[in-house]
Amino acid sequence: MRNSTIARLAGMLAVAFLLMPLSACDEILNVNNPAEIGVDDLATTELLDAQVNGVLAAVAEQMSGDEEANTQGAAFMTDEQLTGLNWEDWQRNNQRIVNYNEGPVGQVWSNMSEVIRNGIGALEKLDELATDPSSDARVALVSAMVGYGHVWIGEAFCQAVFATSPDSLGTTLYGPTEIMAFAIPHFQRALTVGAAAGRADLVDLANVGLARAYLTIGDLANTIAHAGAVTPGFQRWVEYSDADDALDNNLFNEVHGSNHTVGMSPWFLQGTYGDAPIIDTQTDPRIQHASDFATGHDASTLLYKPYQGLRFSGYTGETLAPPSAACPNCTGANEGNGDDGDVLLFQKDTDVLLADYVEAQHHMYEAMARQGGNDAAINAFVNARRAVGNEPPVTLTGSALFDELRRQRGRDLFMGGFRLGDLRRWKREGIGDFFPSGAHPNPDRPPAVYGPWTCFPLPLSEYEGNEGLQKPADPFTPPAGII
Amino acid sequence: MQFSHRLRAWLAVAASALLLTAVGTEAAWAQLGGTIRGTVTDVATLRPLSNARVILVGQNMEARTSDAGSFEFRNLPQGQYTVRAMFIGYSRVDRTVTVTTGQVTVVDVSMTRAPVQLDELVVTGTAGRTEIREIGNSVTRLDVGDLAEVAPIANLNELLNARSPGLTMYKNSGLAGTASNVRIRGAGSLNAGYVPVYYIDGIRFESGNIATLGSTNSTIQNRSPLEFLNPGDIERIEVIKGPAAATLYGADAAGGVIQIITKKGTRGAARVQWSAGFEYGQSSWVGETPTTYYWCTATRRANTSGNYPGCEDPSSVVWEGPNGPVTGIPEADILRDAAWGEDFVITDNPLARHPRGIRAGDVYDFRMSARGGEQMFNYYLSFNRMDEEGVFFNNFQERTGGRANFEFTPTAKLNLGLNFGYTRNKLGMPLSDNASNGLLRNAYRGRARAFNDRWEPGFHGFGPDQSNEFDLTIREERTTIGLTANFDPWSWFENRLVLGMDKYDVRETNFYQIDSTAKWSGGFNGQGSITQRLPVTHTWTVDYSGSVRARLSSEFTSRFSAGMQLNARQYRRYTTTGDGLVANAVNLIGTASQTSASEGFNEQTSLGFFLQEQIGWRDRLFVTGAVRIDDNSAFGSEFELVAYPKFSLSYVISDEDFFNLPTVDELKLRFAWGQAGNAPAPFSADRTVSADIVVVDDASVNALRPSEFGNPNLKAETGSEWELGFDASLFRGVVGLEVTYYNQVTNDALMEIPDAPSSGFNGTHLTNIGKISNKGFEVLATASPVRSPSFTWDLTAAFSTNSNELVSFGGTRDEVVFGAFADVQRHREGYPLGAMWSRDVLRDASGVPILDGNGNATLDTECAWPDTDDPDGRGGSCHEQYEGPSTPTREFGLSNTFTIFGNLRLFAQLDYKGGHYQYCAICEIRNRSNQNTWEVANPGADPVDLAFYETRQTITTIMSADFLKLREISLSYTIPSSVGGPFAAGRWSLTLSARNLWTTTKYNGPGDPEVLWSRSTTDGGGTNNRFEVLDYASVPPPKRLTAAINVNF
Repeated sequence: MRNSTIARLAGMLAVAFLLMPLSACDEILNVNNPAEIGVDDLATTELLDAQVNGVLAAVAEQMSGDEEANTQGAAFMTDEQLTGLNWEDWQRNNQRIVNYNEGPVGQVWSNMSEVIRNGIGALEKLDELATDPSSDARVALVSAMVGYGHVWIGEAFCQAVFATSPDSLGTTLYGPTEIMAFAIPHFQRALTVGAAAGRADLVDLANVGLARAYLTIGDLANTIAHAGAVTPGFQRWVEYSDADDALDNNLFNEVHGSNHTVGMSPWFLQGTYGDAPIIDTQTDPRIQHASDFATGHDASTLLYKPYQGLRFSGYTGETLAPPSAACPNCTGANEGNGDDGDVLLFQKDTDVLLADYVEAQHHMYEAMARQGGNDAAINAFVNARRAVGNEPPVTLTGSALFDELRRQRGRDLFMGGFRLGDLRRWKREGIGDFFPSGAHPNPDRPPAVYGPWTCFPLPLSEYEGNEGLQKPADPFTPPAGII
Repeated sequence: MQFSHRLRAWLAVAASALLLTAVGTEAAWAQLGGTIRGTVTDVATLRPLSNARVILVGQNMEARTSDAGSFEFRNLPQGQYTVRAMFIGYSRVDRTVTVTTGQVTVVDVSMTRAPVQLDELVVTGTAGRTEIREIGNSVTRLDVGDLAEVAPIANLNELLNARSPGLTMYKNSGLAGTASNVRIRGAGSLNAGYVPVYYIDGIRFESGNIATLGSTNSTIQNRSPLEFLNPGDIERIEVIKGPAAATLYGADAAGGVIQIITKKGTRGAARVQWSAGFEYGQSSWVGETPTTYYWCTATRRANTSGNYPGCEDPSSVVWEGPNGPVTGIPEADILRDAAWGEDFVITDNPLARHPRGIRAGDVYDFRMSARGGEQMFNYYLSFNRMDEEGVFFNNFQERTGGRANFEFTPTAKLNLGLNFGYTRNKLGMPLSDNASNGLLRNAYRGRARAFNDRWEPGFHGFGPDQSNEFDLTIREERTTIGLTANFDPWSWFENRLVLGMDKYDVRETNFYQIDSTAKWSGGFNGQGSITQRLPVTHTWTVDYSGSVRARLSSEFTSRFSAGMQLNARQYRRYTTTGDGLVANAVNLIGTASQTSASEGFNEQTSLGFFLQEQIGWRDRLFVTGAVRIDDNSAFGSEFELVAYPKFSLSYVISDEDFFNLPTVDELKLRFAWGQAGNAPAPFSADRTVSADIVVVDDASVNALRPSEFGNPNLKAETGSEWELGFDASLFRGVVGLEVTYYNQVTNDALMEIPDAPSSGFNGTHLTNIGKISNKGFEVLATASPVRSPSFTWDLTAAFSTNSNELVSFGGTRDEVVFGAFADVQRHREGYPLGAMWSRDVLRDASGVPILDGNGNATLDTECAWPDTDDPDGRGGSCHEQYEGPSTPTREFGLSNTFTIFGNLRLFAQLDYKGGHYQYCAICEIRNRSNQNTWEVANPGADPVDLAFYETRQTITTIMSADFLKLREISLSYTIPSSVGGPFAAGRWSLTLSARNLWTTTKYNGPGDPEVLWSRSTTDGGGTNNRFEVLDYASVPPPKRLTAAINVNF
């Protein structure tokens, strides 16, 4: 038993010896995470600019930074583009067949929500830490971006929900015009603070946003007022870079290489889909495209790659079509291989207009057209835009004038992230249903028939991450009564 | 990872104390003396047993027998010794001998086959070396040397497959160097990973499957982390299978532990024992390569869009034949039928006909080793070189490695071991699976030469000449080094300290040559691009355990143990890219027109302590209780320590006087209950933002964007398990049986909850809310029905079942639906994780698919889950059908060896897995999207059937995946030394072997039932990726034929 006693004592000593480092446990377990910062450490003036830039980064990503961007996936339900993506759910999206767990739905919602939530978070920090938030240009800028976040959601989504903080999620579903109403105060703050900061460009940005939001809401007077206040020549760009470690314009990837994925829809194609070449008829520089089709990622859909239109920084106004009697101003530009001609495919550093004077003019004239009685002014505007497209002037009235106004809007804003909102607004207002319907241009990608969706549903991730929401009973059918 | 000053100081003091104590202890063998020499043989076959372990009890001296079965201990002080011979599969034999100075004492030992060895020592899951009889849980031991005798083993995956009941191994792909998916007793975790923890000689090493560049988007198969191990270096493997056994490993080990014990030197042998082996063979495609069909309808024959030249004029198509370009599709490849009118069908088998499609790849393997030692030290040295060519031209593996193991015994009380392993591995990985430019995918999906899919008729996109240009080379260096000290200052006090490091350096080079044809996607890839990714992973281990034995009374003994383990892992990755090369030959990153760089980093540290008390009664009943306390850097700030208790009971009832079953030689009953954990991933507890770059006014500026939502209450999962079983030796050692029933529940299972994107975060966060259960039986049976000098017959059968169920989501969701190409899998309460669910089309009352006005059938998408009307079937409100689990529920492995005249051995291993389902995604995509299967390209088919197959229905594409494979068959012959010449000097053996030679399966897809596509991973990539089961152009495991020669002398 002597051994036993010694053993017991030794055992206890060993245990004591082993437990010594427990006191140092926390220190041993300290690890570094140099890639990230805790949100609790953001409340410092040194990080304010980076937080503001974070909002701009989210805007850039949503505008044209990935496949789900406004210029791409978010527009696939419209008549602007055909996708040559091999992914079936994206193809269905291009056929207006959507459900809450397919295609770009989740990422579109995430990107747009980040603009809002990250923007509001940045505004909270600016309000807390900035020297004078009421005249701080950063406040105006971020407020405008938060406004645009709401505008994009209102234009793309059937319904939406908004959080007041990451831990306090919203439970009320809002329809498109209600969503637009949420944008108004943010633009108005941008207007006020931008003016106080002496930043006319931010004031213009806010006015364009307000006009866009009011047009959707149907407040035509305010649309005209704010659009009319925009300075001629105003442009606000969303910038991209060709540096590998910075965000590039994803449209570059969509039109380059063997797996290119974007082509012009027949509705915007100047020629007959499936014929090649069709260069002779390309007279409008705003909607030009490669003269030959090529199949891309899905090795099936005939894709006429789009060239940069008016919303993009590489737009030159030159036409592939040569001068002719019908088009004396056509330039007969060199197409090259699309990368090195006078007209260009999208490049990595192609910037995209977020808002500009031309857009504001379209908001204003559509509002005036819907008010009625402004035919002369509208005809003048329409003809100015037709001139950009090398089209002769016209004098129109009534629905024909509105149709031409719509047509010019479609071309001026081509691939700029407006089309879905426009089609929905026109359908909702009873102006007409201009969504593509019937047979899809590619009969080889089933079901090859356009479906009924006009907007994106909230994604499954929102329902699963937000306990206050109830999943729709039938995610395959559009919510009733919402356009 | 930076060790704290305090920890470093503590470790230094501990190490110094041990060293000083060792030096201060009196040397036990400072004088010359007598010799013990002898041989060890099989009592039945009379054959010598090589590599048997012979020890002098209480002397800290050990020897291994040579190929002739001989051993020797020299310089022994005069006195009495107990010689103990041990060998896996045989009963322990003790002989007491007296040694006289200057004399040789001969001890020849005959060992009797004993399938259950209760005296065998194991080191895994125990506090120090422990005899099997004391352990209440099952431990599988694999004697690798014995297995390698009968068939060549290329890697650890082959070694583990179908040999340990309860361990399920899937070879994801037949590509060289790719990973396997390993589960033990089912998946006990959704998000923390279910893979077992691996140790080599007590050193933790990186074992999660490795995602290569492109793996995460399922275009490159994950590669295996186990390839650095040369099977020839492995002495044995110990597998413990669940929380009940793995409690002492704490918050990482709920998925089980696999311990690899490498070979050590031999002491006392008369000379150095050399061993060398060379193997050559070929790997080739098994089964059929894909055949495609294309129906040339009137529209396609008219070819108004220019899309179907093969249909318009088959004689004009130029395609690549075995001997070069061929103009015109041969009439033999065109199916015509009068009933089809003008329509016809073009057939193709693009991989079979194309000279650069697939190949029979060469396999070389060379190994050599030396082992020896003297009284106070021993060593094992090895070198190996393995070259393997995959079936694709840009798939290969070249492994070169070595190992040096030293043991030094300065005193009878101290044994020091230094284990060092180093391996270089070079891999070439092709695009595979879902890669748009991958060869097999494009061969499956091509239009049978009817349409020139951009470059290669018959391929859906890239053909061999383009796809084989893909150049991804991975260079790995793996260094493991460990120091083990066993210090027993008194007979009742044992200490073991293990210090070690596993360093894993990788350089992945992805090179796109300048491509003037603009074939490669994405701009710079065509202008020349090179990416270098350099991940480095360090894993450190500090492991101490001490045991104090005490005899409490004449019948009761006590063993009190305590220990601690510190595991630290640090991962750092640099990625640099150079885009735009001036010439292919000038391809350093800095020479490119544009460069970029990024860095990734994470680290995780766990610290655990355990206390254990074991009470023994008359050396036959052992009761063990233990508790392990853990902390982990990944736990949330609101969570502190976690404690895992353990209890086990082992009762060798056959030692009792009352036990008198004539057919039962030995019987041990065992029961174990315990808990172990699964820690969350690094940094997953914190809410963070991360850095980004955005362009503002033409300048790149820093930006902060939301990153991790986090969870401050995050903690490890708790796996609780009880297991009950017995080990029995029957019929005088002819049959051995290990039977276990286990019941495992994972509480606080980590569930991945989507961040509601409206929160501003866009990802998932973990919460401890789920509950998962696994139950099953395991049987390991060994039998030697015939043992005689002229013929022996040995059988090993491993059978297991597993019933897996997601018990609860914790009220957070009804289900998780996932699957690539179709949502076929569900995590749904009451069903196995990742189970398969099918959908049908809408049908009329008589069951015929309903066609719409366009002649299309419509997928029945209606579903309102949970469906209380008919949970398993389509009768309720949710028109889905539960098909079954996606992983095997029953497995059976049978190894059979005939040995004739001791020299000729015939070995065969059958591998059965069943009860599970595989989703043939490639079948569905071909039917619907490419329309190149016979089901949809048959002009004589019923239009309703055609319409049915072209929908997204999955009732025909989810298939039973039961299979039975002849995994290995080999014939080996040992040349008798009586032949003379060089054969007299050593032991020469020749082996012919075939792997994956034959398969029978219920799976009807064009691939293989056991492949997993490349996104399926075990340790990352999100919840669903760990469970995704589908066949989408994954390369089947190849057939391998090899011839090997081995020599030992």
